This record gives sequence, structure tokens and C-alpha cells, in this order.
Amino acid sequence: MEHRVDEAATTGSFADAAAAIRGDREALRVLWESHRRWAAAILLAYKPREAELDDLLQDVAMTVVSKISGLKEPTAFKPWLRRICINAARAAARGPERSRRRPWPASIGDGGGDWQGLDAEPGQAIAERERAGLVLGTALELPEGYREPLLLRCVRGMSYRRIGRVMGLPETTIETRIARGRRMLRERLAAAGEAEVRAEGSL
Amino acid sequence: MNDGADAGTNAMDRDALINRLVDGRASADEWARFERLSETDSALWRDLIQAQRDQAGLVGAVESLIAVADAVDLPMRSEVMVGHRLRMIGSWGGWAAAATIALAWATGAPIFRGTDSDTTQAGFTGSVSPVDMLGEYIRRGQKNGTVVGEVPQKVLLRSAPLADGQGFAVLFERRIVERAVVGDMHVFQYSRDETGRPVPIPVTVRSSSGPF
Repeated sequence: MEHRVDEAATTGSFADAAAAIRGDREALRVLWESHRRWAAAILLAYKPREAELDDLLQDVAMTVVSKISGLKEPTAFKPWLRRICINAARAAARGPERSRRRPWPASIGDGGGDWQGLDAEPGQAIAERERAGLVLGTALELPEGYREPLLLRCVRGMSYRRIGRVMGLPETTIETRIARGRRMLRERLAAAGEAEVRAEGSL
Repeated sequence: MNDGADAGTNAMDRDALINRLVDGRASADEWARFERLSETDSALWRDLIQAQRDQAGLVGAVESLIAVADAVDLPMRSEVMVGHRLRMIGSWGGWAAAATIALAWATGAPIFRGTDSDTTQAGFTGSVSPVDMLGEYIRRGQKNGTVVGEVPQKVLLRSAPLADGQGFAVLFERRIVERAVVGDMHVFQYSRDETGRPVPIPVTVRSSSGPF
């Protein structure tokens, strides 16, 4: 079932990409709107912490509009967009503009957003949000080959097959990397928790 | 973590099994295998619960952050052209280019007519409007720190009914706050000489703890 949905979405995506390459603005708009969320997840996986996600995404959008006509194959759209995102994130890491610092926990905990499964009591919800910030911060410390598929998997509708197409890797490799990434995440969080308990005990 | 695990199950298999359960992709056979393993691997259930909790937290955090993407639309053709032109001006670094922009804003005339290759690359046709250019100037200025922002209140200078009675012409001022870093505290302020001509007058700026 998941594969049939993927195939239908992929076929539509290729048709939109082909039309966008030919200069169809509406097709390009549709294409962008169906891919911008995972593009943001890739930026998140690679950008320096202090860089603003929406600024980088605007840079990516600008590049997409100005360069789409040079794309040779519609099937190459997803890896092409991924490469633009990675380049934009790495350029931000090299660039001089590092003034607006906003650490993860503050931005995660400042309200808004669609928090799934966090309909518990307010105090518990806050604790869960704080933990979510810790989980994300820890995930962002993982090696990039693991953190990228791990974050992409958090985007609604991103199956292993779709992630594989974005990253240019077989579905089985994506599954293996996500499984290992989750284990690394679990182990690092456990280690951090134990260190915290030890630190509290030594006070 | 894996003490007492089934001898035939290595760590990779264990990860893969937990992974499929977290993703809701496990078959009935895999669930049965998990239950069998849990009889000898006391940490298996704990790790599954932990993995599910981590995933829920990660999904919440990532979805919350990437939600900004929904507000990022593709730039209009004019913005792309302005971006290209601003890069060009940056490479010139000359007052002539800046003056041309100022003139274009003042007169509303399109500047730097795009070549065919420019419009073909962007996939659009048409000319750049002063409003688009001003918006781009503010956005880029805010990005590199040279523009603080636009004062929300516009200043009405004059209004007059149109000759054809189809509305009013309104002259108003838009104020943009810029930020500059200077080498010393001497800057120039415009004044007028005895004949009324504008002249620059050096003034000393005191440090301030104002909002900017």
C-alpha cells in the first residue's frame, strides 16, 4: 500500500519536475510545495545551529527558481534539491553571518508548532518538550550519514523508499542507517542521563 | 544493554526488529519473534519503549521546526532578477550603480533591463517594480545586518483627488532604519548653506543605549 502511494506521488513529481524544467511556473510551485518540508529537514541536519532555517530555505528557493531550467533529468530533481540544501547549509557554516544565535532548546520550547502526542498535563507536556529538545540536540550530534535519514523519517509522508530516492541510496541501506541511528541516539541519551544522575549525586 | 540476548540474534538484528516495531512496519511473525526474544533479553521491552519515546520527541521537535517551510514560497521573478542585480552591484561596488537604483526607486523606472538569458534562466518575463526592489533591499539588509527594518507607520505628505475623479493620489513617506558601523564617531549631517543648498556638516555622535 505504502509503495503504491509512493509510486503515484513519484509519477506526479516527475511530471511536475519535467514541466518545471520547461518553464511551467505552476508546476514549479506545486513541486516546491510538495518538497519544501523535507528540504527544511535536510537544512536542519546540516546547518550550523545559529543559522536561521527560514533564511536558508529562502536561499534554496531562490536557487531552485534560478537554476531549475538547467536540470537535465526530471528524475534527478530530488537529489538535486538535496544537494542545493546541503550546499546552502555548508555555506552558512562558512559565512560571516553568525550574529543571530538561537540555541535549540529555546526555539523548540517557545510555543507554537504541532506537537504530536503531547496532550498530557501542562507540567508533563513541558517536560516532554524539554526532552524533545534534548533528543533533537543529540540527534544533531550523530554522524551525518545517520542523522540525515533519521530527521527525514520525521517528516510526514517520508517513507524509506522516498528517503532513498532523495539520498540516492537503496531502501535497505536507509532502513539499516535509521535502525543504527536510533540505537546510537538511545545509547547517547542513556549515557547523558546517567552522567546527569552522577552529577546530581556528587553535589 | 543486550545481556542475555538470544545467541542467534546479533545487535544488528535486534536494532532492525526494534526499528520495524517503532515504525509500525512489523509483521505478526516479527512480533512473535520479539516476544520470544524478550523472554531471554530483559532489556528488550525497555529499549523498545525508549526508542518509541525518542521517536515521538524527535518527530515533535522536527515537525515544529520545519513548519516554517510552509511559509516559504518560491520568489517571484522580479525578486530573482533583483538578487542577480544586487550581486552585480556588489561586484561593481560603485556609487554609480547605487545611484541608478535610487533613481529607479524615485522614478519607478525599471533598471538594468534583463537580457534574454536572464529571463530565460528564471523562466519568466517582465520588468522589476520598485516595490519588489525595496522589499529585496530590506530583506537582504536585515539578513546582513545593515537594515534594522521599516517603521510601520507611514507619514502622509499630501493627498489630492485625481483629475478623472477615479480616486486620490497620495504622497507618503516610508522610513527605513539602517545600521552602520563607523571607524570613528564623526559623521556628517546634511544642512543648508546661506543660499539654501544642501551641505554636509561634520557632527560628533555620542554613544547611546537606544533600541538599536
